[in-house]
Amino acid sequence: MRLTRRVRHAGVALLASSALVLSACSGGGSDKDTFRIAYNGDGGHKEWADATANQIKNTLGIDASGQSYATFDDLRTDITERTIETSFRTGWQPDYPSIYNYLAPLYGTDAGSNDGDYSSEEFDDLMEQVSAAQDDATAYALQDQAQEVLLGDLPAIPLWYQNNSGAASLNVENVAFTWQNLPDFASITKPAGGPVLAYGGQPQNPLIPTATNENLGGRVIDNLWEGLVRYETDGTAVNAAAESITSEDNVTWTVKIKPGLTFSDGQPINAESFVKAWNYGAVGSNAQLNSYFFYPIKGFDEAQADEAESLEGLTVVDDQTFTIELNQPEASFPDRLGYSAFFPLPASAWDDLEAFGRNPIGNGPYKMAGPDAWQDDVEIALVPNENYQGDVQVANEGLTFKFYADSSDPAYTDLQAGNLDVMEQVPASALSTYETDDKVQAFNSPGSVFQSITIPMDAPHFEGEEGQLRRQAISMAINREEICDKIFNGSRTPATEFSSPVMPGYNGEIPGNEVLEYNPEKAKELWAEADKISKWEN
Amino acid sequence: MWWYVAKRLLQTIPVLLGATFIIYALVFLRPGDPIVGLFGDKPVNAATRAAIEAQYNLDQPFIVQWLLFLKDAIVFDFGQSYSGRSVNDLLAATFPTTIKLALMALVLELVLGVLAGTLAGLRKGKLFDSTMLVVSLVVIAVPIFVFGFVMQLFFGVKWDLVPPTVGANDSFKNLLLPATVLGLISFAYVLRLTRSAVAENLLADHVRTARAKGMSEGTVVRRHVLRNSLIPVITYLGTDLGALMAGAVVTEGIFNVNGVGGLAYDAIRTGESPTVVSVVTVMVLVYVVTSLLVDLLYAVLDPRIRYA
Amino acid sequence: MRDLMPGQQRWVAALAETPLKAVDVLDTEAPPESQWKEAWKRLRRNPLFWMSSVLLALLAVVLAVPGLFTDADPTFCQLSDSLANGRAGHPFGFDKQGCDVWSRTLYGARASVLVGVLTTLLVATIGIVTGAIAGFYGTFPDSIVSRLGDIFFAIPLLLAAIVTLSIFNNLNPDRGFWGGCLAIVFTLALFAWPQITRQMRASVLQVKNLEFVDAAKAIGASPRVNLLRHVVPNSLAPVIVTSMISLGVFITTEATLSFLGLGLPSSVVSWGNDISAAQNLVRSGQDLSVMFVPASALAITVLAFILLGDAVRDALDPKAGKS
Repeated sequence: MRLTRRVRHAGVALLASSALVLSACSGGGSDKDTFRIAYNGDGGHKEWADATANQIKNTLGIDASGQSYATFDDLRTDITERTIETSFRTGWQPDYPSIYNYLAPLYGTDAGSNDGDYSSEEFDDLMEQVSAAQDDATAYALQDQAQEVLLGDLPAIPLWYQNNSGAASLNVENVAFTWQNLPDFASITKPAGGPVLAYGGQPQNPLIPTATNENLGGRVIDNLWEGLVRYETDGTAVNAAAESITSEDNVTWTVKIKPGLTFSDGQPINAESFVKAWNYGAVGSNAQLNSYFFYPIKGFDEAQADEAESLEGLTVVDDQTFTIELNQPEASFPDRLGYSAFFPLPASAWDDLEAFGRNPIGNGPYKMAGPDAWQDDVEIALVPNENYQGDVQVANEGLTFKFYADSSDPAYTDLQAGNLDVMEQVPASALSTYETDDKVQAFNSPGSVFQSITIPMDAPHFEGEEGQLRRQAISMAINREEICDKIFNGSRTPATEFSSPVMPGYNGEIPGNEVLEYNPEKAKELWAEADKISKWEN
Repeated sequence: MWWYVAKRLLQTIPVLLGATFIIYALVFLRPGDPIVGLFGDKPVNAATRAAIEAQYNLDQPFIVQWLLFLKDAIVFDFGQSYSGRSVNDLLAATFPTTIKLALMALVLELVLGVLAGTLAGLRKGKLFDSTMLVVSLVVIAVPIFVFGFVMQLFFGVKWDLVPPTVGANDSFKNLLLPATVLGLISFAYVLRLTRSAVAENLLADHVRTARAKGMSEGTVVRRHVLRNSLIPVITYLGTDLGALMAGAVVTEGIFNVNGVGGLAYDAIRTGESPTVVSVVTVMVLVYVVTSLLVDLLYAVLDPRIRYA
Repeated sequence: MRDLMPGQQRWVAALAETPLKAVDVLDTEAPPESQWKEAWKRLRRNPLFWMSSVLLALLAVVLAVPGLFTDADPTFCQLSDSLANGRAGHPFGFDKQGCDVWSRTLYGARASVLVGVLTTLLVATIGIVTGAIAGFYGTFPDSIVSRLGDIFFAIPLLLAAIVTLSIFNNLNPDRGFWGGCLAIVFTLALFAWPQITRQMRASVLQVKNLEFVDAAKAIGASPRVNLLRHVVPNSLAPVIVTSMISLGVFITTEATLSFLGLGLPSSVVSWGNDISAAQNLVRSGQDLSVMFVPASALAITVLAFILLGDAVRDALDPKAGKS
């Protein structure tokens, strides 16, 4: 009996020590104020987060450092549940080429990706006007005004744009990058023949347009399909499968599909091909990761909640025509329709969607090379689609996405050896050397990915007038040029606004953007001024 | 003998149950939300979440989830990963490579370690012995990934002797460098174990007797010294295969080997409990089976041991 | 003529060559020497022991007052110094963030050594207690401890540590110095104890059947007194040796976990963090010193502990070592 007591004592001691560790780990509340930049440790963000924090620390003399979360979902969970109390990194790549897509989803009141809970009536108003604007020039001017508001409030601190720091082997020619930070695959030529070997990775989801929201599957889908509209390499939206998309009130849109279009296996493309695919994507219980894209369409909430099996706003008028009714007017709605969530599915897809996801049939410039074109963890091979009737000219004999696991270092080694033809982003270890490497063709130009740090609107010391001063001080304490140069070896471009230089309507000279320039004296001044309102305890 | 094997196999059942339970509990305790990760920067919809949770039993209490996993695992069905692939397929695609890598490392460390250890033990205190002692200490003291990077830089990139990365082609030549790096630390342990066992056995009474009977030195070393000295080495190697497979997380990452270490690491990062638990379960199985084999090998090596 | 191996010598010696008297004199007045005292005698004669002691003494000074060896602040980093070469006051130059490499290496010793020492202490405590109970009392407690040990031993340490640390990481990413260290200590200890337990159990099983234990029992010592006073102290030797060697292993494991992004928080100055931060530089083959300075410091420290463990083993178990 003595023994059981002993065991119990050991157990109590173990429990006590674990409790001790846990309490120590949850860091007893200290009175010191700290500035942390949270990032996910699995995404290569440590270096810039540390460098940025060091600059803030050196300029303002406060305790600032990067704070690593083990994984992307750990960070996202904390952000989504609003349990994060520090600033955190945000990266945004637009779904379709429009500055509106950089602004409304991120800073609109209660918008889906407004993780800092920013809310400004003035900004919301301007966004609504952009939606309703009848021509581009008006929309652009309104967007600039909206950004002026943001530059004053700084819900997020813009940092830099990720460049297209890509590379190509010496086997291929005519490599150019699109607004999506990806090579324009169809136009690449390979004089020696054979398929173009492109960087890729095992898609995480079946190759169904509404199921794929990540980039590795997305690049395959984008080449297998073509939507009602398509984006030129510079981001301009032009009609593709649609003959016309018209509306009188910007609420109800009538889509006419070009006659005689077929999928790569000859099945006809008609109104049903679109409507059925979108309905499937929107219904909540189908668990499609892209369901979010259908939110502007009437009946989305009901479909998501499984109260309706289809979107109320979609109506098939005849074989080649259907109408889309929106929840509210949106003048640039057709611009969205080139995103992959809006691609059509052939009738045969519904027989066995799972099999279809392995071996999809689309209407794009390429098709799957055969029943075994997708080899898990190895590659996906595409060949030109001879039934394609669109405007994209395919200049090569095929396109094979070779899969690489976590790191792009091996891919770069392959590229140097000619075993890979294009990759959109060279690994960090090659950034300082790739532009002088005579075994590769190097590319480097600003891209569409916008990176920033979001400071939650209710973070201590970052609310109200004090917060505004401190946000500006933080922004001016960051020497973006230096980080782009020393940490990124020139593969980032310092931000001048909240969107990207490759977007149609980019301005770059919005009044108030001097807050994004390094200005240590001003930063200290603003910080001291904020201290008068409420002291930052060092 | 067979009774012994059966008894040992029975003993593995609580080990397997306990190990899967612990890993399942740990992955479950992880507060990160795998579904949030699936959606990236996009908002998560409640209905979609519910559908995914139901599909993977995430809406069930923890114990039920574990039992459901066990029910299928008994017939080696490890379910589906969150990206919709069968975990069996994932294991089938990665395990052979890792086994190959670990076995190569095992053979390398065994052959080189025993050879160098025996020589060092025979020439105790001489130059070769001291050199080997220093080498083994340095190998143990330097973190394995430093060796990985340095060897990759020199053998793979600068001198171009072997491919710096492996990728999809897991040929013998491609795996040579990662296997060497993986086996390095164990090589040092095998060397040290063999050395001290050989040195000790050289002075043992039965060796003395053998010599006195006029056996040639070579025969004495082979038949009487080495055979006995291998017992601790075999014990060590028995537990090492499992450790090598887990250690492959680092090596596979550096050399881009498509193996189970990378699979497990990714799965842990994304909170994919089905994959994590399955990988660990199979690793525990490997451990259990190899330690059984080792126990049986004793009987061959040490005539004093007999299993009733 | 080659050396005769043992067993081949002829044991006939002139009496003059064997000063038996000097060897065989037994000082019956002297107090009995304990195992530990004898070990200490042998230890003193071992040059490896002195080598590791000097290294560890030096390490202790670095841990206590790193400022003796550098004036630079390890946390003051300016990008304008990024990868700059050494200059006065900064002998090994700067890392990519523009931090002083030498200063970070000196200050980084604290976290790494602390993790190693605390983990070893915790593992040894758990292992000695559970192993002694299992070995001494046998039957029910033995099967509980042994089965539990089997389970934890079967789970691969590195994978288990990754899972567990990602829990800690998740609970509080901003753990600070102590929180960060303790999380690793706790994680490693959770999965490393069975090794010591097994060793301790085997050792206790051996010792508890020795004559002096029977003697103690005969004069009426209770089982508890017997265990604490006689069995445990005499079973500790192998555990101490293993612990010293595994201390070094824990330090390298911490570095490996940092390499995987799960070690100490990045705000903590540590060897693991610095070595893993330098990995991209090594990949591209430039500025190797940024990695080699902390890596060498780590290797030397680990080496010192392993050498000490080796020397102590030789001293405690003369048969295995010298003979």
